[in-house]
Amino acid sequence: MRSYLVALGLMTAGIHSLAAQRPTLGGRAKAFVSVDAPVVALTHARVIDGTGAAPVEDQTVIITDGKITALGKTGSVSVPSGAKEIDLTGKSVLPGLIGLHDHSYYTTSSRTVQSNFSAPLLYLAAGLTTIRTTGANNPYAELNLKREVDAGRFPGTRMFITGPYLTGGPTGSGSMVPLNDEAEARRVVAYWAEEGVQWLKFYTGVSRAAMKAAIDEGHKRGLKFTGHLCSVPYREAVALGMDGLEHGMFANSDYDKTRTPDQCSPNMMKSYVGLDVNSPEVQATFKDMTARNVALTSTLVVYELFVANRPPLEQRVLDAMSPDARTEYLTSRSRIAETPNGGIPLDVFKTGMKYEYAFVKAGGLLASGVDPTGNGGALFGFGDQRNLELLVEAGFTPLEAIQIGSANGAKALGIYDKTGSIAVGKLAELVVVNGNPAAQISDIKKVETIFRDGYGWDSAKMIEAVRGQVGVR
Amino acid sequence: MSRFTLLGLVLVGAAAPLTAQRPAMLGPEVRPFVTVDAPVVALTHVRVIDGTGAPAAEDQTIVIRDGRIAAVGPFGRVTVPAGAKVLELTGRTVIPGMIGLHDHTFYTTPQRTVQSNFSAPRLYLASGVTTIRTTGAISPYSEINVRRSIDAGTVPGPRMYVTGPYLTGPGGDHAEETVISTDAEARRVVAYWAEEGVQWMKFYTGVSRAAMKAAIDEGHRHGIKLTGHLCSVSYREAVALGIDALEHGLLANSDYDKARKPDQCDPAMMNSFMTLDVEGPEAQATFRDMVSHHVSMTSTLAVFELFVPDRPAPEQRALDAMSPETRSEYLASHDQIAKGNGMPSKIFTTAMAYERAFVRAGGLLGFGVDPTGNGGALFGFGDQRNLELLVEAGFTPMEAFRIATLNGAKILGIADQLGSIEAGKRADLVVVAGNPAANVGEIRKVETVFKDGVGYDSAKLIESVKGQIGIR
Repeated sequence: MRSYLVALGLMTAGIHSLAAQRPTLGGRAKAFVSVDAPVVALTHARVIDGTGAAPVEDQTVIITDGKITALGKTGSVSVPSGAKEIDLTGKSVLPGLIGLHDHSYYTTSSRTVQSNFSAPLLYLAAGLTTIRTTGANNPYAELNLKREVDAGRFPGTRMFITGPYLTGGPTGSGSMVPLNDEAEARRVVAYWAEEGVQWLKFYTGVSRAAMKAAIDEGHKRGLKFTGHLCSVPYREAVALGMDGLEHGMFANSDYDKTRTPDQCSPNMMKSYVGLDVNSPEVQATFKDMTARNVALTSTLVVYELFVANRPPLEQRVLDAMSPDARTEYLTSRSRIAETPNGGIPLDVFKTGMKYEYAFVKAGGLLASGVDPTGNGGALFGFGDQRNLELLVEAGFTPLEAIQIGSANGAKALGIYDKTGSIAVGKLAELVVVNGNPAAQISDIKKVETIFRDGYGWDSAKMIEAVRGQVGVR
Repeated sequence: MSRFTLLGLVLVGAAAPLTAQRPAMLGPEVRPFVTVDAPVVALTHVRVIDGTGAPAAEDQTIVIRDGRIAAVGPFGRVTVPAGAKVLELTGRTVIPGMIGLHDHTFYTTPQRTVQSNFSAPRLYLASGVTTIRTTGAISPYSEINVRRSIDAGTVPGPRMYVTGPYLTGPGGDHAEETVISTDAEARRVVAYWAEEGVQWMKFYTGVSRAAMKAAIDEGHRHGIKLTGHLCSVSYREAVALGIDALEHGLLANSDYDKARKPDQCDPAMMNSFMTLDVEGPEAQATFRDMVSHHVSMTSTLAVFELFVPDRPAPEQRALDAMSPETRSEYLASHDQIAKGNGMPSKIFTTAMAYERAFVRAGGLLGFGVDPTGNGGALFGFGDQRNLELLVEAGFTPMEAFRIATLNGAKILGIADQLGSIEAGKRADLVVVAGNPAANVGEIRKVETVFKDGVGYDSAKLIESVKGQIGIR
């Protein structure tokens, strides 16, 4: 009796065919399209190509059936006849952002909400064109959402679906699967591989034995693994074959002298106090990761929520929340501000920033994501943008931050040959920003239009559609 | 299925769903709700509705020992053991713990779908529902984890029969369902969830006959049972394919839709109910097939009632349990339906008649709430309302109680342990401050709920979820 209204025929499911690059869109998707032409010419644009290269002014980008077919100085690139021409004087074009910790669910201190409505809309609206969900609260819902988006029935990003959280036994919490032995680890991994997930994520309680069996089974099936760890430190996880690690420093128990094997120690956070990111033990972590090509995901934005009086309140964030969700977030925020050491000490947060900077300087591949959980202040997409700001605060240049948010994500996902930077032959996954984020990273919030699948999508309209819905659906 | 031990106690696996609980096992999240935790308890001077359909018996004594019913009989003829904790219950009624067969752990309004690991177990238990079959999971792992936690005594709640994810076909609207398109896929999904420890699976409105057949075959090989909220496959077809149960009484049966095409869900199915004669040959043919194949039916009138204009009046206790936004969403929908945008009341009364006719034809009817629709039927509260609706449908109160207790136990295959008040059975008992035999609406006055002989405080459980429905 879940869908009585559906049974009454009050809603209809469309039937659509997939074109090569430009899918035929269903009505719910089409409503958010602002540019619908097979050939588009973006002229007089500042191009920030995502490789870290300096911005190039007054460029023309030609998009043909969803691909970048020409790029160069305006005037020197011929605009095909019949192309839809858009003058972007004063505006910037960036590669679509790639969010590597971009769940399709949301939490506050009280609620956990699978958000198949607001997540895809807000991610796309904020300039994300690819997300990895990095832990599914509801894997079937994500797989269904991916099908809807891929078929053009709902607006959204390319999704790399991550299966359920894999943790330790005997009882999982929430929707996580406890892996109690190797056979169970293999069985769970094999099943979700066949269901079509591309990644799996370990959680804080997993044992090394279960992790090893799961990775072995998954790699045979072409899956990759990342983890929000605690019971297994990064260096051990790298040795076991891990492909990615989440949350920068904040989930690494390498430096906790009190830990016992396979146990998540409550002292892990304390081990970061006074941690020297140039010390041999930290550099040893980085050396292992870079030697094995293990990417690290920065999610500073979700940790910032637990630092007193951070981040600056944004009206667009509060507007997107339902009234109850807003109250829950603001109440939690006040409590953190009022409780001495109630959250994360500022110096530990800053150490987390330094850690990510040092990781990159040591040759590591750092990517970015939001993690829209915690107390609910980091929203789909908006939080990804905030994370780029925090990377700049951490010492990266704006161009480096944009590279981390685009090209590096594509490399971590193994799709850099197709997307992640602006180059002829790549997919036209592009973000038009009304400003210059290379000069001022906060301009990344001024997204106007997102190109994906050969259409231009209207950021403001998508944000408006989500108003009051975060925390509900 | 892995087994594990904690504090030397073997915890539940799929093969051992009837784990008994002793207070010593109960954790800090459970203990505050426990009001009776003596090894021997005597309930005296109480009216007993035993769940078998027998008339209520006045002035009875029930002795509970080590989680089981040790004796039941007239006061004076049953000896109260020395040292027993005696609860004098004059004027009160004891019924068996109810068994809710469509009792999801998630909740919906028109806007939201909320996995409710916190509020669902508490409200079911508070309402006197001591066993639930979840009958379709949006988050099967959450349910498995909640079941483990309840059985380990770390979370208060009912005994759970976990149903895996919704199994549907490729067409139509998908939220959290999983699509089984081929035989191989059907078998793979069913085998996986059977090994994960679910006890039932549920088909949904878009499944094909071929996928259903493969899933049933695979499920039965693993010892799990299958039910369905159907549409694309009619009841008679599903019965022929070996399904074990059917949900929602009449309202998911496409047997009577002349226009339907094989394996397709036709939304016009509802129209076929407008003219259905429940005594006619078509309906009787459905019943005959179900009875001869021992296929049970679940009444969920409480959720369909939400779509009938001017029914039911919102209950204050339900509104109090909802979060403010959730309440607004429900009331807005209720107003819309009151304006005529709902289900014709003729269909609803036909559905009631259908369930009575099914039982008259020898069918085994269970009941449940289905806490979905527009959000007006809550965990437990809605099960109680469904009991009332069964009486409105024409069942006697004793028949309604049997449907809500012993019939449910039979459908789950646990009638030797639960479902009625008999010596030797598990002490799942509900103390009601009133006489629901005379006025079934008094089922709302639950005071104490015994599960395995441990007494829980209903009011305190309800208070603990105030404002939480729609959030967690």
